[in-house]
Amino acid sequence: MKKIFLFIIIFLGSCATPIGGAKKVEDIKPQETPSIESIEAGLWMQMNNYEEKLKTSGSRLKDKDLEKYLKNILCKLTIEYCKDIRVYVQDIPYFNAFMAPNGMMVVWTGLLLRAQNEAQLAAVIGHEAGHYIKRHSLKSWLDAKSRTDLMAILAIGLSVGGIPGAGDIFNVTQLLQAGFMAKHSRDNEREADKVGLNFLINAEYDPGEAPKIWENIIKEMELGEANKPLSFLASHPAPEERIKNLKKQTKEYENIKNKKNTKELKEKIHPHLKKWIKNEIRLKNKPEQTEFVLEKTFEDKKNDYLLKFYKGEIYRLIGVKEEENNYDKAIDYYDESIKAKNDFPDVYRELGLLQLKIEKNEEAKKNLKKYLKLSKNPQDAAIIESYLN
Amino acid sequence: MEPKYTIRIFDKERPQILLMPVDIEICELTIAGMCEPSASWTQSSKENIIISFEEILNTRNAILKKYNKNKQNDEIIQLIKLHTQIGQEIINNEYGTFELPTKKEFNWTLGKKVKLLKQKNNSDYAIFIFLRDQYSSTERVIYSIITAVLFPGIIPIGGSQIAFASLVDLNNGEITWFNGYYRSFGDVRDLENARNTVNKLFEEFPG
Repeated sequence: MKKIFLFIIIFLGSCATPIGGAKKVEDIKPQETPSIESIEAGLWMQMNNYEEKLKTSGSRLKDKDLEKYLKNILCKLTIEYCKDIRVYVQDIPYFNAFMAPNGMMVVWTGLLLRAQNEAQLAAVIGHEAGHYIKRHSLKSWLDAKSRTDLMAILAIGLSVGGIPGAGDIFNVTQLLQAGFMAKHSRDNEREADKVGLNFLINAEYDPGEAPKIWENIIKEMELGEANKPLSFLASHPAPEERIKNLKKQTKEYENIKNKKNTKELKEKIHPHLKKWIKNEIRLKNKPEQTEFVLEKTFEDKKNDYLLKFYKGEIYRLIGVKEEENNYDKAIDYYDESIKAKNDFPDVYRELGLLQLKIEKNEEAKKNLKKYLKLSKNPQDAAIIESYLN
Repeated sequence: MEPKYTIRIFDKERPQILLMPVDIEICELTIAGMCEPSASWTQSSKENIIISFEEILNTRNAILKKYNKNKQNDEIIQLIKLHTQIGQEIINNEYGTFELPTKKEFNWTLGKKVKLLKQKNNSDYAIFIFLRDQYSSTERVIYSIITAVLFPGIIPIGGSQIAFASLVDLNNGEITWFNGYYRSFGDVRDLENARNTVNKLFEEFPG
C-alpha cells in the first residue's frame, strides 16, 4: 500500500514545476499581452483590478503633472516599452518603488524626496522597468509555486517513507527554501539593475548616480534603527553588493559627464516638499537619520534656513524623551534658521509656540507677533492672537 | 444565513436594473494551497453569472441594464469600492461575529451619490455582485486524497466560495435587499452550475 502511495507522490512530484520554472521565461516583448489561458494572464487580471482601485485611492498623490514627468523619464529610458508601463505616485513617506506584472509602476513619495536628481530617479525607474521586461513577477510566482508544491509533497513523502526524524528534515527543507527564495530575489534584482543601467547610459544620464542613491540609503539605514528597516530594502537584499556591482559596471563610463538634471527634479517636487518633509519628520525615526535625509534634500546650501528650521522641527517633535530635553536643541536650530534668513514666518511661529509651552512667555509673544507680521493673513491668525492676550 | 431586505416588490412596474461590473476573481489552488488567479475562468464565470442573473430578472418582470464602461468616472469607481466595503460590513454585522452593538435594523446605504448612476444610466436600481471562488487543481485533489488516507484528521481544504450581492435603490442609495454566504462547494465555471449558484445568491430577491 505504502509503495503505491510513494509512487503517486513521486508522480505528483514530477508534475510540480521544476525549480526555477519549467520553461525558460522569455523577456516580454513591447506591447505584448499574455494569452487568456496563461498563468500570467491571471496575475495581470489581479493587478488590473488593483490598479483600477489605486487610480482613485486616497493615497495617490494628486499631481498628474508629476506622474507625467516620471512617465516621460521612463519613455526617455525606453521608448519601446513606453506604452506598456503606467507610473503612479503614492503619498507614502518611505523609500519604495515597485513594478507589477501588468505594467503598473508605483513610486512612493519617500523615494522622490530622497532622489537627489533626475538621474538617480531614472536609475530607479529603469530598474523597475527591468523587472517588467524580464517578467520577474511571473518568474517569482512560478518559483514560489514549485517550491511550496515540492515541500508539501516532500512532507508526506518523508512521513510515508517512515524516515526517522522526518520532522527535522522538514524543518531543514524549510530553511533551504527560504534561502533559495532570497537568492532568487537577489538574482532578479541584479538582472533589473543591469537593464536599468543600460537604459540610463543610453538615455545619456550620468550612470555614476545609480550607485549613489543606494549609498545614501545604506548610510541612512545605518543611522536609523535596525528594527525599522526601509521597506524597499526588505525585499532588495545585499545593498552593499549591489553598490559594488553598479560601481564596477559604471567604471568604464567614469569620464562621461552626462546629465544629472538636478534642477528639473527639484522644480517638480517643490510644491510638495514642505508636506513631504513634515511627513518624514512625523515618522519619528532616529533624529540622526532624519537629519541625514534633510541634509541631502538641502545639499545645495541655498536654503540653509529651511534645513535649520526643519532640524528644529525634528527635535521639537521628539520633545522630552528619556529624560533628555530636546527643546533646547530645537530652539538652537530655530535661532540658526533666523540667522540665515530673518523673514521666514514659520520659524517664528514654531519658536513662539514652543516658548509658550516652556513658559518663556515674553519671548514667545515677541516671536508670535513677528509671525503675524511676516505672514500675510495666515489661517491661524485668530488662534495665535488669542495666545497673545 | 438569511437574505436581508426592506422591500418585497419593486416600487414600479418593470424597473430597469443596472448591473454594476461584477467584482469576481476565480483561482486554482496549487498542491500546497497557493491561490493562482485564472483569467479565463474568471471571464467565463463572469459571463455565466450575467446570463443567469438576467434569467432571474426575466422571471421577476424586471429589465437588465448592462453597465456602460464609457460612462464610468472616478466617482462611480468610488461607489463600487464603497459597496465592497459596505458589503463586507453587512456580512460582519448581520451574519458574523462582529455585530455593531447599536445597529439592530437592516438599514444600510451607499449614500446619495448613487444618483449619478441613475442619471448616467437611466436606471431605477443597481445590483452589485461580489464573488471569490477557488478550485483545486487535479494535483491538489490527488494530494488531498493521499493526505486524507494517510493522516485521518488532516484534510487539506478544497476550494471555498464567498459571494454577496446587493440591490441598491438609485433614488436614495439604500440597500433594499442583500444576501451573502460562504461555503465550501459550488461552481460558476459552467452555465449549469452558475445558475445554481446565482439562484442561491438571489434567494428572496424582490419582484
